[in-house]
Amino acid sequence: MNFDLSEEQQMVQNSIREFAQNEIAPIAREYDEAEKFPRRQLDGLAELGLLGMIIPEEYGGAGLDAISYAVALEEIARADASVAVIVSVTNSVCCYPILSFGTEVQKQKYLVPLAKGEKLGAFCLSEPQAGSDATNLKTRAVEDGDFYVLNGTKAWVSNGAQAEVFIVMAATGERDGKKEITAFIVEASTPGFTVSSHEHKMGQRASQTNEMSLTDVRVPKANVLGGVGNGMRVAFGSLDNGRIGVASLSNGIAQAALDEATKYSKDRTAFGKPIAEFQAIQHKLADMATETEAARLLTFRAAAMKDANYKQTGVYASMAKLFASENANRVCADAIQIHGGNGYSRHYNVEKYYRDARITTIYEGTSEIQRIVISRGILKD
Amino acid sequence: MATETEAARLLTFRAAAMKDANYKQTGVYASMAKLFASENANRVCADAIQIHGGNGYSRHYNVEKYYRDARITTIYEGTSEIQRIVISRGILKD
Ligand SMILES: Cc1cc2nc3c(=O)[nH]c(=O)nc-3n(C[C@H](O)[C@H](O)[C@H](O)COP(=O)(O)OP(=O)(O)OC[C@H]3O[C@@H](n4cnc5c(N)ncnc54)[C@H](O)[C@@H]3O)c2cc1C
Ligand SMILES: Cc1cc2nc3c(=O)[nH]c(=O)nc-3n(C[C@H](O)[C@H](O)[C@H](O)COP(=O)(O)OP(=O)(O)OC[C@H]3O[C@@H](n4cnc5c(N)ncnc54)[C@H](O)[C@@H]3O)c2cc1C
Repeated sequence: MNFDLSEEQQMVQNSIREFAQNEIAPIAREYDEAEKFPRRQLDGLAELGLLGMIIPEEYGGAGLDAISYAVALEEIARADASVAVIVSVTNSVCCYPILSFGTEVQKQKYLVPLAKGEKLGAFCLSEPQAGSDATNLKTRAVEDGDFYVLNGTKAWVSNGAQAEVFIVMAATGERDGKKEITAFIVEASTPGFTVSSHEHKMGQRASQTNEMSLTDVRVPKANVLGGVGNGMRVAFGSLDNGRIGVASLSNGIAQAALDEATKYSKDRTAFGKPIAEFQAIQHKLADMATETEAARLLTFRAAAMKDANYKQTGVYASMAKLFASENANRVCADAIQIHGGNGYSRHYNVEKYYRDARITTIYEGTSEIQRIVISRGILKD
Repeated sequence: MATETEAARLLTFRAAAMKDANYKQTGVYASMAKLFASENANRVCADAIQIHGGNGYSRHYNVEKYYRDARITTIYEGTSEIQRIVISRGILKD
């Protein structure tokens, strides 16, 4: 069993770390406060090939393996989780499904510009009344000649206001009393497809999250992705990368919080000595480091299984996502504790990390849903 | 239980791989593995008893023994508190 990153993976780690610490970390606080979209930083990441990291070079991507993807997202999230989630969404739930299920024409038209970072992607599954219970969606697509006509409302669309290519899930009918769901590639400029509101969030505020409405949106039949009725296969096909992505993002936040807490504990004195000399603080740091390392190993393990096309990748991706996201929340809470009152102030980064971490146990499947996936994997054996 | 046992196993294999490769930081990683795996064994055995209900408390069921067997693991070969001292020293000296 090899636990060391390959030379190429280390190169990815070093180059992204340098870019993220120099170009992203310094603006993270300001962009968070202003809910400002990090356009320039994304252009820089596009130049490094990161908007199509897991896409083969022939389609304009960087052709990286899943472990490099995990390493890169962790480094970006260490600097700013908002930027990491923008990158994760366009890669894992827009580019990847088109790579897996798209026709050659769809790949040339949509995947190539996405992977090159000329266009940004988004994914519309959730609705106001359908989150974890995603198959209960209400958006409908009705056939009309060479088109489908879509009507409905999509909630929580990451990158909604900036993306140019969307994957939209809609019901095309019913089969055996169940909704038949189909995936569509929809261009932002299609008439009737609009951003209906902007969510003001607790954290990850530089990443915009929007409600989108579809009113008589005409989508050519050629833009059906993966065949009529295969929508949930398309959605489930992107889960592994999505979950490995959020796990990596969580590890980046946790590592950043641990680093800040370690530094602070050496600088801050109380009762005549640095608080790092108190065992209560030392033991917190030890637990934070141990569990963050465990989270990272689970994430790399899931990524290695993804690279090797293992059947059980799904269960491992859920384990990684569950453990890493819950860990990020614990670590950030402890990092604030170690900072004392300063940790509650916007002058210190840990305050932001704590807010950024809070969503990680919810999106890409809540912790409760991950536990369902994992327990099903165990129980069926 | 499954997730954390898998995490414990990976930490253990990671420390073993570092030992094989003669890494300087093996000590800190061995302590992480020992701390996390031993505390995890105790949590998992407690939950396994819980899942068995009253039967879990009976000597007729294996989990009763596992629970007792696990209890020493956070103590011998350096208690959990001592592992945390080793790990935090590793972090704080960087
Ligand atoms: C910042 C952000 C970005 C997002 N980006 C996207 C995006 O780009 N595209 C997209 O499609 N969606 C996106 N989402 C939506 C996200 O995936 C959903 O919020 C998530 O799936 C949870 O759904 P929900 O919010 O409707 O909660 P609900 O499903 O209503 O869950 C509420 C609670 O009930 C629990 N619960 C639900 N079902 C069960 C069950 N069977 N057993 C036990 N507990 C259960 C949940 O775990 C949770 O604790 C985003 C959300 C946020 C906040
Ligand atoms: C089944 C079994 C097999 C064993 N096998 C061997 C063997 O083969 N060879 C051998 O040499 N030993 C062996 N031991 C001994 C074992 O290593 C010791 O029990 C262990 O090191 C703890 O020492 P102690 O029992 O004296 O507890 P103490 O050191 O007195 O500790 C009591 C409590 O105080 C805490 N504590 C102590 N120092 C600190 C500190 N600085 N900061 C915070 N908390 C602290 C401990 O964590 C513990 O919670 C064995 C023990 C058992 C039970």
